[in-house]
Amino acid sequence: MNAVFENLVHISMMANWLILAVMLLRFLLKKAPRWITCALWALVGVRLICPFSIESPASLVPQTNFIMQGVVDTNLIHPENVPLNPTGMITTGETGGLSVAQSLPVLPVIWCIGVFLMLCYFAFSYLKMRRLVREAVPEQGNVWICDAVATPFILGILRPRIYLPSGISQANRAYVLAHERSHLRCKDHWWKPLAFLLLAVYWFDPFVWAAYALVCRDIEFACDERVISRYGLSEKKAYSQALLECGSHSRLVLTCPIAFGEKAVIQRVRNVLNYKRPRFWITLVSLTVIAATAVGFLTVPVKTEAQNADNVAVIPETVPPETEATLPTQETAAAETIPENDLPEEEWWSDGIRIEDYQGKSSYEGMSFRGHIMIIRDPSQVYLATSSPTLSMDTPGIHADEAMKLEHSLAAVNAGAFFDDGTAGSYVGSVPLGLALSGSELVWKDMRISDYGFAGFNQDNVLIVASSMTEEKAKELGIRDGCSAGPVLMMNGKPNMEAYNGDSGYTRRTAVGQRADGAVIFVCVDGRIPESLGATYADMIDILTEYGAVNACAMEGGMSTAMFYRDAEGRYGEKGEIQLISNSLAPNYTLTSRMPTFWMVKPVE
Amino acid sequence: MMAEIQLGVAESRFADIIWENEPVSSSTLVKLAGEAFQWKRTTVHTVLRRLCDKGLFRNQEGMVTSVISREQFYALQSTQFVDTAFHGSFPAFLAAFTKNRSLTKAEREMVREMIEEAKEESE
Repeated sequence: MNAVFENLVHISMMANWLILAVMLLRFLLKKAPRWITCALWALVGVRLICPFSIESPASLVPQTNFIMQGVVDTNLIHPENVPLNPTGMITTGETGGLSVAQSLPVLPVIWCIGVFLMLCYFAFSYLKMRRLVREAVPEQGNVWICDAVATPFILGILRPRIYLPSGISQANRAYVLAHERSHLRCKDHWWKPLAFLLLAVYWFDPFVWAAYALVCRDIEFACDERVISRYGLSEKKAYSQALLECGSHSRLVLTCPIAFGEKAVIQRVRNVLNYKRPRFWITLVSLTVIAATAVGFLTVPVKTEAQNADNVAVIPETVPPETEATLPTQETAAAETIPENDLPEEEWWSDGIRIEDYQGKSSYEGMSFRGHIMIIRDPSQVYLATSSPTLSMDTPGIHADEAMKLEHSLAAVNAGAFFDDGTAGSYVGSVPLGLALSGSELVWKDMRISDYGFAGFNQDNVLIVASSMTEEKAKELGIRDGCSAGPVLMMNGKPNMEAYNGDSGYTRRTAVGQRADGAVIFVCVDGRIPESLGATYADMIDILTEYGAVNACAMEGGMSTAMFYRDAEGRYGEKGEIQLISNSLAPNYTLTSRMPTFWMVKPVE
Repeated sequence: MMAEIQLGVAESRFADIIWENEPVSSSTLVKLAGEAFQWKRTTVHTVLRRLCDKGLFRNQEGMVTSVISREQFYALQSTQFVDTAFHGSFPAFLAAFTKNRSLTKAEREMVREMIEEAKEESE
């Protein structure tokens, strides 16, 4: 239901532009035949019905930043998380971005109630009319006479009948019948209920209400016009008289409460009396306008590269110049609002890294937690390493510091999700789950659970985060090093509100992020010790926001969380030793998991 | 008293059936009106009760006879039908002839003038 509602909001936003355009054209094309306006409204109907949009470079619909985001669920929970999770929920929601329904989950429910009420009104009114015409008697053909109605009308969809009030004078009857038969010929008894059904679905959109009110008028105008186009003046006069006499009793219609300008009857009489056969060129111009409107407003602008990747975010500033220009402005703006976080030159350690201790209060019952933030100035230093050249279930994973020795790297942080059946088997931590890419090579692919989040650096050292990733998409995006885990925590400077508000529980957690200036941020939060029970996703997002991350994704957490640093300057102990920075189970760091993938920081070349 | 009896077109069609067939049982009327107007049984009884209340017919133990004959009725009654119509709100999704607010007196006058003027212009 959420997805349906999301899509409807999206469609209505695009349709609103078309409605505005039709309103303007309706005004400009006053001299054109009225059926032109009806055809323009039909385009609005098509737009509202059609669930998809065709891309066109000629589209006039303004580019909005309302990008549909895929919503996926993942069960990416380390078994360790479960017992401490306050509600016992083991599902984390994960989404590619913040959307209407997600930010206010009650909206789709309100929408459903609204649609229901509109349909109730529809059904109720219809049944009321059926009751009114119970006592009608047949006159001839599909024409019936009814004592209980004041104005002629058509009722019925498949076998429509024209009902005339019994008070109708013989003089007016011919004109009224001509009008109603013209309605039937044009199937207006279908279009009007259809328009109402669309209104029922899009009841939340004031533009659709306005459009509906105008459609009702324009259908009558067009019908009048068809009838009188062959009339001489005296017949037009008589027709106007019929309009006046039949229209003066009926009341304002409830579903059409927007009364504006002149009352419709006056306008219609004026139209009828002033009718001139439209010039051929006006019709020709009008047809061109319809075609142009259809092309311009039934299509959407061709998606930019960034949008095509759907729920993949890229940092605008580090995007190659050719795609930068096509990024929606709002996304760029989001990155620009990020505070400047770059440290003064002297604050960076000689190896281009800086580690900060972090003390935080958890969103979960205000418990305090402790974390470590590693900032790497140059993203090209960061890559993904594996526990062995060829990953397999038969080769157990290794500890991060062991991997550091093999890689001769400056630092290591635990990376992607891995196989863990909750046992202590040697195969636990041997192979990744989802995708793993290292040095632009696909080193592992296990798509049995395909909807892990993903974080990876592309050839331009941009950290790309996505709510799901396939081998093909990774290739297309030029991912050099990346792995599956999740959920995405930040995308284009915006927090993932589903993760933020979700019941993620508190535990040791790891996240990787990137600032607008390209610097990479690793966050590791300690847990399961009295002074730091752990962090929620919301806490992680808060830290990442504080440190200026634009894109960020959670990595494997719990037992896996580990941050190691080769302490060249002896900040943590003896010079040149590999120190366990994170994970407070130290000094016995072997209690951290064995795992298959690691984020590594290599020395500046 | 008779002058007050006013019928709509549908009512008078139904009254015609009674006059043509009287004395007639209400069950026969249900059948006749069903054939002629596609009326339901309940509708027939509703309209019949209304016409009896108006003093046009009487229904004695299922047998319907007229109080006022057809000739008497039409002799006393002008052929103009009264407007017994429903004046409530009208659903907008129906293709109705007109369905706007009632016009005020001034507006009716204005439209009438518009129609008149159109005539003058053409001549």
